[in-house]
Amino acid sequence: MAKTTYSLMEIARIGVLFLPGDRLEKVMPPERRDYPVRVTAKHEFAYGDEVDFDEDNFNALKRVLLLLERIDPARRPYSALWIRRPENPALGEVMVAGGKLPKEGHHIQPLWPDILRAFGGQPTRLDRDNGQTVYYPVHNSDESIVGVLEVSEKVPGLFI
Amino acid sequence: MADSMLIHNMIRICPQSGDVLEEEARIRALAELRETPLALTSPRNAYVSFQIIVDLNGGHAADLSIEAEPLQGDRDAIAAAEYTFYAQWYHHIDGKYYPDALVPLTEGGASVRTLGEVTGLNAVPGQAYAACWVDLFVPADIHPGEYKGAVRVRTGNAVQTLPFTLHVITTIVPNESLMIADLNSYADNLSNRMKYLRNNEERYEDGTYYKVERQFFRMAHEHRCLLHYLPYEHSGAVPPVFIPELGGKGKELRVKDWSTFDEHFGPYLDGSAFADTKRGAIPIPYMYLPFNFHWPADYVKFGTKGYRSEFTSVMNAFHRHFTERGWLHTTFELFLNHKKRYKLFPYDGDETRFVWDEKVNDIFYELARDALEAKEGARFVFRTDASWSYGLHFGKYADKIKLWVVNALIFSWFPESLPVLRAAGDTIWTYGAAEKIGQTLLGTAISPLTAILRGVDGFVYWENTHWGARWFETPLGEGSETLFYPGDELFGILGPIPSIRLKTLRNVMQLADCMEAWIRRQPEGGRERMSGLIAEALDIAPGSWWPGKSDLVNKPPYEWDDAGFSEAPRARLHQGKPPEALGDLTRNIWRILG
Repeated sequence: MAKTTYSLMEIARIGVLFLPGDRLEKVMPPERRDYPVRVTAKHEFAYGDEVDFDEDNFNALKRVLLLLERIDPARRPYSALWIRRPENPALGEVMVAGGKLPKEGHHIQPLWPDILRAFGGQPTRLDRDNGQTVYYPVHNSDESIVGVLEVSEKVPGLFI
Repeated sequence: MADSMLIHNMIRICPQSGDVLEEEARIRALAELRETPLALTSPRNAYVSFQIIVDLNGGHAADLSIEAEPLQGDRDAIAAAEYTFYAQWYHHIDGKYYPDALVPLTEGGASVRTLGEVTGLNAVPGQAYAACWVDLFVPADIHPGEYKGAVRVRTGNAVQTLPFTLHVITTIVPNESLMIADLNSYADNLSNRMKYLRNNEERYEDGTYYKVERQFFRMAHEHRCLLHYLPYEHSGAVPPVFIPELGGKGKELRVKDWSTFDEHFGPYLDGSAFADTKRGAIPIPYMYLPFNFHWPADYVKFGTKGYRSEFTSVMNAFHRHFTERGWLHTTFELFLNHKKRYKLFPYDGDETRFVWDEKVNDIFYELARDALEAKEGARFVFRTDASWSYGLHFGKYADKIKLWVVNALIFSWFPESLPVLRAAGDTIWTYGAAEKIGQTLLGTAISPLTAILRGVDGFVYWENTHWGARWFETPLGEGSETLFYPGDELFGILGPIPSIRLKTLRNVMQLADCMEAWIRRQPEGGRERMSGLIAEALDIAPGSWWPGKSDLVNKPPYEWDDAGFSEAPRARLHQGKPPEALGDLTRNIWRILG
């Protein structure tokens, strides 16, 4: 039987069917969701000291990310979930990473046009160097967009 | 012609002005140093080091070279082949030039490059002085006594002979260290950071990776240190040659093939990788296991019986294999380095801050229990790196966690933890970073001495291969993340070159190992005696290495803030002290040990 292959966009489309957006909204405990404003130190490392997760919600999302990376056995993509920072929606960050951290890393950073397009509701493809990234909106049970799924292949993840 | 002199090893000389760079030094002018003949004292089976400072007298150093004569004693000689000469390489730090990288001029007693060649490549503007670091190995089988030696500085046809004396004492430095000087790094940074490896996609298959990596392990070993190379990324991904090949899933998961793993690690674990070093074929004392949140068990299954099946069966296979191979001299560590800040996992396996993450200790102890509690065979232990929650955990986990690597500052707040962990038979190291190049060399010496003072088993520098892309100009973080430099690009050396700080650390480790051996031979009071001598040399109050508790400990760790750390008590042991204090201490110790 001929093998079926899936585009990254198709993998992302299937993946978001199983990603519970409500859990992404609650992936940090309530007292940590505003963690950037708790940081008093100037150095970047201190931000990480304030990060904490709700393990059940995190693990539920992580499990789906790791599984969606296996939808097409002929591909070796990695995935991550991005959110916009509530205190400054121009900024975003990875909140849950699958098999690797995205190339952009784990820090809070300004969002760029391609990912902003997905936050606006449009699945978006970004070709870069020899690889490809797709960004796909993630909804909660109220059908609000609460995050963006990244699926990347042949884009070096952050080595850490 | 060049004009040269010999000086001791605890100061560095500015290549432009000739001033002593250590501001705390008792003597800061070369003219004064010239008045003091070099008189060395050393135990046997040890390196002793000194420096040759060459005043270029306005000339250039192109034809400058160094030679040595054998040392002559009444009953023995020390062969010229026991010398190793290194050109000091200067780095630009805060507007000054400091030497740190050491470029070998000799290998096995034969000249491979000249001081002049290295000085030309370094190209320090306005350079007036060049410097050579000298290592002299004092063999274990020579008679104690007085020896006379000399080195020759040759400039063209002109030769200057520089004599010195060496007093060899009876003490023999043991090949095996009683203290662990742990140089940590993360796989596979060597491949990322060395051009020779980075440019070779076949490096794992064609054997070149092993050869280069082994040079790092050997250099650490020869300097009485341990290269400790964590074999996985924060994601849990492991480079292929750091793990055996697995097959199957769930309860069928098995090790299929050990051959690559054994080829990689076998020589470190049976000691053969070190066979022709001065310390000999000693297996590495500690090694990380590759087990983590996502290997060998699939994190998709975390919390299920399948996760347990996968983790436990492979852990037990490791224990069986290591036992069958006779790797019984190394302690193997189950260590979970994951940090939630990287958003790959929801738990801190490393440096627990949120106390509820301590469940990770319980979960993984249970998964590895068979291997961790095995009465026979290879020694597997659970290791933790502790900071925020150390005060909450040392009592609670003393029976499960057998290797504690504790933030040096926070450890100093808890002297009461020491007897608790000792009673449980646990090993304790502290962790910090290598001293910056721009700081006094006494700062490099202080880690082994502090371990003696506090009675711990070792210390860790958290990163030691992060030299930075422009290390030959200014190393990343002033060298606080490396004690090695890559030899490939500038010198064609397919491995590391050492640093002055690594040499300094080795010299102090020799001293500390002898002190620790002496302490253990005393029926009681040995540590107090040695601590008293360190305190006297550093002119510090007895007990000042336990500075008292921070108010932070009265709050849960997740409420600690930067202000609390700023105000926390800190032991100040070497700051502002003359680097010659180490010489005072060393002479005192050798006099007592004989």
